[in-house]
Amino acid sequence: MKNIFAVARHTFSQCIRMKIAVAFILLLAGCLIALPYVMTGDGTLAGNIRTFLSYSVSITGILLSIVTVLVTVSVVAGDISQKHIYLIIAKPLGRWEYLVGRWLGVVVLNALLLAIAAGSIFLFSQYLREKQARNYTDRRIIETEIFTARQEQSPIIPNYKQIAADQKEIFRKRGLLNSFLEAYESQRGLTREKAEEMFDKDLEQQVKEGLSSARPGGALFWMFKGLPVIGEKTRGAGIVESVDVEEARRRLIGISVPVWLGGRLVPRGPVTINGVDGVVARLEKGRFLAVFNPGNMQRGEIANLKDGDKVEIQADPTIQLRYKVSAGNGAKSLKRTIEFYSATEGQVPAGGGKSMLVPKLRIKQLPGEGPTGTMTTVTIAAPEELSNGNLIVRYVNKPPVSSVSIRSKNVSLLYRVGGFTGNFIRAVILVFCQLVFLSALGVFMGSFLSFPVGVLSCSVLLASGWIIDWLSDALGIGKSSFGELDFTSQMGVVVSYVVKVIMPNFTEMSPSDKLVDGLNIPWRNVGSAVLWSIVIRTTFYLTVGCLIFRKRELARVQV
Amino acid sequence: MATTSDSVVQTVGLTKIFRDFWMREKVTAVSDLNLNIAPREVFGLLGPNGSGKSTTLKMILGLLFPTKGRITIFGKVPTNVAVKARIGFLPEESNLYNFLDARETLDFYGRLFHIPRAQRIKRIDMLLEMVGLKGAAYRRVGEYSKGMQRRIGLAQALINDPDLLILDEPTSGLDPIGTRQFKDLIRTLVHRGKSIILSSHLLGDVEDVCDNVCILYGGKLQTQGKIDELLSRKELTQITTDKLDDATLATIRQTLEKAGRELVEVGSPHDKLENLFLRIVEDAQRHHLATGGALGGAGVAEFLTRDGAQPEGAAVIESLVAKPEKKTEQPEPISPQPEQVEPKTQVLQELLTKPQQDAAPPTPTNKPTAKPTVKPSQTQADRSVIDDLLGNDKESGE
Ligand SMILES: Nc1ncnc2c1ncn2[C@@H]1O[C@H](COP(=O)(O)OP(=O)(O)OP(=O)(O)O)[C@@H](O)[C@H]1O
Ligand SMILES: [Mg+2]
Repeated sequence: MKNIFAVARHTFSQCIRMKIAVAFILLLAGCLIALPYVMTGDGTLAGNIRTFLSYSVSITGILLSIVTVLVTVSVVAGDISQKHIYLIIAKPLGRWEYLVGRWLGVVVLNALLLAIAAGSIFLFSQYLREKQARNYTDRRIIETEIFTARQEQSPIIPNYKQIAADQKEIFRKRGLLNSFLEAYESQRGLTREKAEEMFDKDLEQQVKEGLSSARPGGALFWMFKGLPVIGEKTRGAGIVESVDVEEARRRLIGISVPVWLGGRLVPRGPVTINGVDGVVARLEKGRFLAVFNPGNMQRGEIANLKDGDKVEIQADPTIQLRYKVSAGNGAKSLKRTIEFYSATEGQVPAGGGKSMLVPKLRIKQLPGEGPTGTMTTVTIAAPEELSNGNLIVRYVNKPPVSSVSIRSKNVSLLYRVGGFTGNFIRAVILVFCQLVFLSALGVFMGSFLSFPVGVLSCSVLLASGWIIDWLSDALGIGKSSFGELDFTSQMGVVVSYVVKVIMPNFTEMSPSDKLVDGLNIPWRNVGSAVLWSIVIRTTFYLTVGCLIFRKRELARVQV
Repeated sequence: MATTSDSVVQTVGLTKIFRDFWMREKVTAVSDLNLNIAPREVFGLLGPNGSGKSTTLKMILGLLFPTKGRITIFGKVPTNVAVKARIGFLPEESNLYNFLDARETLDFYGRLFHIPRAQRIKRIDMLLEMVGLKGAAYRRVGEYSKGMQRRIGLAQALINDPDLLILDEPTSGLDPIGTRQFKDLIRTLVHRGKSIILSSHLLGDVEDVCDNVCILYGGKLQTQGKIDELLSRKELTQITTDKLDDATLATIRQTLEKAGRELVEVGSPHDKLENLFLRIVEDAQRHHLATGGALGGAGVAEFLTRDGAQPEGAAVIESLVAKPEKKTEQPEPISPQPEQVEPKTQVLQELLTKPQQDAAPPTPTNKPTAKPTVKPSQTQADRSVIDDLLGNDKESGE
């Protein structure tokens, strides 16, 4: 152990003296300073924060990955080519201790650099968060869609195949099927078998499209099952800024709150002040207006409040619906009503559909207008009725405009499960896992390759790790069986399979997308990254590296 | 065969063949070498360039693996980690980390021996003092001169107070004072029961400190034994006195002539290892033994002796030749007198055309020893220079 630490210490100071840390920090700073100039946000603060987070986290990851590969390969291969290893081998430390020490040193360096970078990113994002948002929506997005950690849940996807099969059965019963198939045969010149196959496919497609589009006046709905009892109430403190009594009708209390707390409030949503239920009226950055009805306004907890008093605030948890709608006539914006229903187990259909009976218990109704073509989020206070975990969401397409379509995969329900800080830390841990792995990869390459060859090999692997998911998508891997592919695609399958085995899944481990969308990175993901990337792959590469190193004649000249 | 238990390093049939990428044999660097190094012994590995000295040392350290044969070091295989705690090694080039200063260098290697902090600091101080780099302790090793790096290399090899010291050309690059101190150090260490293996081209140094030497040529052992025995030539008698003036010499010569003996040579005994070395290497070359290393060299390259270049080349040679003699007398500038040039060049050419002559050197530098005439040897010249540098300390190697 002492030996490993001695080598690690040495490696660390070597990297510091090689000015790697300085170079990295300068590079990162350079990239971030250039950021505002390349930023093409929508002008909102939320947009700017998203761009900043996404760029800075990715750039940090990429820069550190490159630094890690260069450093690890160069320290190990350099020791051999410059014969420093002669002295090391003459000392009483095992060759494996040397390699592990080299690895550990770079890991420690990475930890330091990552901590610096992550710390700055975090602080700067908090600084941006404090800035003046453009409007209330902007602020709400910042607080409830970025600086949060939300769990995302998809609706139950209807079994389109089954529905199509049912439909086909109906056609058959009505004696229509045969004529359909004959039409397919004659029009396209197919055999019966082929025609039926084609027909089935088309029918399924038709069902799918039918179930995801609604005419003006029609509605779409999605079923969410097994939602956890959502979130704890958020508690915090605020200061009374103004007290306003409109005769006996209602009492308005202006309260200043920390930004984070304001972000948890939902306009027209419930809020509890000193234990008294009220409703949130006007919500601005750092302050809101609480409205109490006559029944509650007389209660002592709020009746005697004066300016400057400290109050206890309790906000209900929220849930959000995220969807993307496209309009048949290309309209930019559509009128719609979104309705939330609680559903009992019996009402839960096998799939989705348009014809389902409207459940009795409507929780909430949100009339309004929404944009098309982009992901849109609506926020409501999480209803208590949700305790059985089933929720039905209905999208009513208000006439007179056009028909709309929303794909099931573009619909999800989000609920807050944690704060931004924790999520950010988990994101950083994911990046760190990648770097720990890359250090092992670099040490492994350095243990038997010269510097240029080692760096080249690492870079190729690194790049393929980055693009493999995209690549296998592009090649259509997994969509058709291996035998049906042509030779090039088969090679692609083999290569992508190999890369998936030897490299961790960088796409899965890249946290910036989730961070930007305020999506929770569960500890389970972090755990599996630690397991696969560190425990298994890192150990593997270090072990193989050590075995190779043991068998190597270190005084052999390598060219 | 001797038991391994009482030898520090033993090699049996040690062979190293370097192959290329396609596993074709390229060079036999060491061939069937049997060495046995006893405790408290200073063992010298000699041989011309490329004769396999460094290769042997690397194999002893586990940096290269033998093609054939066996090595034990303190009874263990060379890759044994524990055994390294008793070894100090100075490689051919110092191979230090450029970015560390002297103190950090020693500290790093000290840590690898698990020397406790307090003791480490103490030892580093003492070692820096010993190698005379205390003043430069906080400068980066990369900025050091070659000799300074050598000194730190030596200090690094001693940080664990090793039982076996393996030194590859330890004195190369060292100044005369350093060399002298190094030799003193070796004697002290041996006195304390340590063993030392060293390779060197500086035969004077080897002769001063080594008990046993072996001479390699083309990776093969040519001769091995106690240095006294190898060097003693029973048919000669050597008288060592204070420096004699010419008159006294003449008297001695007369006396000897009366006794029917001839005065063969007057000088220090230290040039004899050189003679032995040259004899063996030339023998080997005459018999065309295979070597992957350097051959004797064939005089001055022809283009250096042509027309315009001639006086210059001759002057270089002349200066090399004249230097040792001059030094013993008076410190004059090296520029030679024109009348001296002629005879010297002639001598050189004579030597070059008769390479089989007993003491014919492969390089011009050795020339003054060539003629068995009454002339102070080169080694002696060096020695007096050293003595000058050291002050009046006239004590010699023995
Ligand atoms: N790594 C290597 N690969 C191939 N050949 C090598 C290697 N190391 C040494 N050799 C060859 O082995 C022979 C012996 O080399 P070695 O370095 O042992 O010589 P040496 O006696 O130390 O010479 P010098 O006096 O110049 O230091 C030489 O012919 C050399 O070219
Ligand atoms: Mg050598």
